[in-house]
Amino acid sequence: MNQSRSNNLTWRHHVMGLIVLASFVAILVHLYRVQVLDHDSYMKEAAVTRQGAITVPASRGAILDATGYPLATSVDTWDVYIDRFQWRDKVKAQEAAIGLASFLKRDAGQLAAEGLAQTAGDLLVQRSLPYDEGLKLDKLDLWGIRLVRSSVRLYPGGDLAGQLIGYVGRDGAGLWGVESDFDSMLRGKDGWVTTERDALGRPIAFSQRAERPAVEGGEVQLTIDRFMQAIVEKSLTSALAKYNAKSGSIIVMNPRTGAILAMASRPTVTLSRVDLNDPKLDALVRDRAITDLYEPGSTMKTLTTAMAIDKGLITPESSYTDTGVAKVGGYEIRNWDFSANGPQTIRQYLQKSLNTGSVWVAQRTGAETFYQYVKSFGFGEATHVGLAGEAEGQYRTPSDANWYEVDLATNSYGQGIAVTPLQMLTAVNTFANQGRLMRPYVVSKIVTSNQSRTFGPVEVRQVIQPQTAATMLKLMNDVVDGVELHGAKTPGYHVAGKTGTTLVSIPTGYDLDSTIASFVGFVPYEDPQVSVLIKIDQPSGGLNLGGQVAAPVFSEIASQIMDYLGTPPTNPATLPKTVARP
Amino acid sequence: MASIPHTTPRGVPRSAPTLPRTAGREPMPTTARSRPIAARPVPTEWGVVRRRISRLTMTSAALLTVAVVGLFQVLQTTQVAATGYQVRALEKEQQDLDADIRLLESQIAASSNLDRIHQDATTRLGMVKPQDKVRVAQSEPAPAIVPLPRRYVPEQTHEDAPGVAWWERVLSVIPGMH
Repeated sequence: MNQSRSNNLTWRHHVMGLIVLASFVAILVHLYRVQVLDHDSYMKEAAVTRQGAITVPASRGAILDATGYPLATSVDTWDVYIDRFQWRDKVKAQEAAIGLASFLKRDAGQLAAEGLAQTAGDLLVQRSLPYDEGLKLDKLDLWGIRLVRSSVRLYPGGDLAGQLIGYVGRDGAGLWGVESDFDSMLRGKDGWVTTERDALGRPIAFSQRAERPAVEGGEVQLTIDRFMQAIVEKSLTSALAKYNAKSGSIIVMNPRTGAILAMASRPTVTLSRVDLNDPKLDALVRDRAITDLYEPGSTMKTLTTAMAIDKGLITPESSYTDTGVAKVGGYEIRNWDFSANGPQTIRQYLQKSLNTGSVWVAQRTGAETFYQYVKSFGFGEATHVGLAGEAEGQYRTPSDANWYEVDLATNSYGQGIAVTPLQMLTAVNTFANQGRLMRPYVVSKIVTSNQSRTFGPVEVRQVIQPQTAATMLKLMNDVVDGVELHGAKTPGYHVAGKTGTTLVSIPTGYDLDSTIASFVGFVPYEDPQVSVLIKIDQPSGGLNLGGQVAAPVFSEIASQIMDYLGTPPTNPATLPKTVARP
Repeated sequence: MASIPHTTPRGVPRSAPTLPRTAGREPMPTTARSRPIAARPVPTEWGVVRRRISRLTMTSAALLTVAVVGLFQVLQTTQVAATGYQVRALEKEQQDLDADIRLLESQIAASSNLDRIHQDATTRLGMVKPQDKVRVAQSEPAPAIVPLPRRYVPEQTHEDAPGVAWWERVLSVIPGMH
């Protein structure tokens, strides 16, 4: 029978067979080319049209204070978009607009008009919708409504330390402060999920899926203590108001470690109401304690005196005769109050803050030694506190062509030399730290997903001998405790400190009506727990001296900080009431 | 046994008639004279049936095997898909819970905002600042600093996941399998 069938095949059958066979061969060849030879390129093309990547935003890390309190943190939100491509179906679009408008409490007609204005692209209709609200909206399954995960930065501490903490822009990048300086660690790494999608862009269930999980941003812990920061900020704000001052800065440090416990400047930015279009924003966000230079005035006398004591040139009991004027290089330098006090010891010159005394001390020290110490105290170079925008300070030295002999004299009492408040406090801290200069730091710990780094005290150098430091601390204590009604006296505690008043420098010289009032000190004197620098710029309420304006602020702050730290009183006699419990 | 007329493709009768063919592989009938019974048993109806059953069984077994393998494949795929769905649902739930945690942490922090505490104390609770401070000296140590939230403590590094199996590497070199 088979034989008979095969015999029935005509040439037409053979031709048709050949054609079919050739077709199959052609198909096979083409399949081979598509599936094997050009496999990768076709896969890529298919992936482009079929696969879609969803970005999984990384959560930005928190900024914590020294106690672990989050000064800045992020919470998850949703951004709500209208998919205009899907909204080409106008009936469904109208229904979705009504549903969305009802949910967002917006006008449905306006939403529909905006959504239907174009036929392509996504339209952002709501930014930072709370996370749980977004989940509710998602359940409504509105046509062409897309939810994209986002986050919003919160500052639970309110406007506390706004200049230091910084701010985050809409693109998630830090704009200033720690948010900017440590942006790469805080930001984390966005992840992604690649899924296959249908023609409408919806993920296909059980399709191929590749993903890279988001890496959460790191945590930055500061040395700032929010309680001390709040004390400092309130005191500074009230001081500026009380003395009608233009601006000011206060720094509180642990003098032994260099840790900055509080740092505030005014005017400042209000984190809860940041206007990025405000032309004055740059001035508001500037951390003046590290960026602005000022002439330290009489607080510099402590360093001038320390140099001479360290070199063995003077002792606290060394004396000179104050005639009320010191003549240097053809210039006459007078005391701030134009007084002439006769024979004065070093202790007395510091208590009375006599310019003639510091000139006398500096001349005994000599210019070369003086400027060596100035450099050694850290002036003229950044402290490397770890924050951007830190100024280095400036002063002339004998090697400069424009240095004159009178510069040594004026520099000795803090004029003609520009430093930052942080540099000044860091330098004076050597007195409470056995003569060692410590690098100030504001970040104590950074914890990222894969590592934890701790930052501790760093000794820069030994500037003066420990004995000199102890002597200076005692002299500074005498400045406060030895002067009746000194503004820096703090009930319950012995204080070491020094006031400073300097005229505001202007391009043509000095503004005789404007001062910078400052005070730098330690409390308690016996075992300094904190060092504080107060700087009030251009007070204009009638009082404008450091002792009148800055010293009382120190007392107010020191008292509260001692209470907060629970430091036992070192001078209980000055307290109204003390109960001792064994 | 009747002969079956045969025709050529062109319909011309063949010159010599061919022998009749048996259907399929049915054995040709033999006689006792041509071959001894002991050497080759005489096929019976039962033998044919047995062979037919055997063939049917084998076919059925093969089909069953294919069906079982296919079913297993389907079950496995379904199971994988269901598990994948569960994993994604759990991931989503974890994301939601993480978001809740972050929100709660921020709410806790906001509730201990110093300004808010001060306002609550002075307005809601009617507190006032003390006129006199009473200091009590005691030897109790200060409370420890609040540690970092646990989620920020670095976890122990896990051992690396096992590498790609040999058969996966083999499959990956085949076009279309990766």
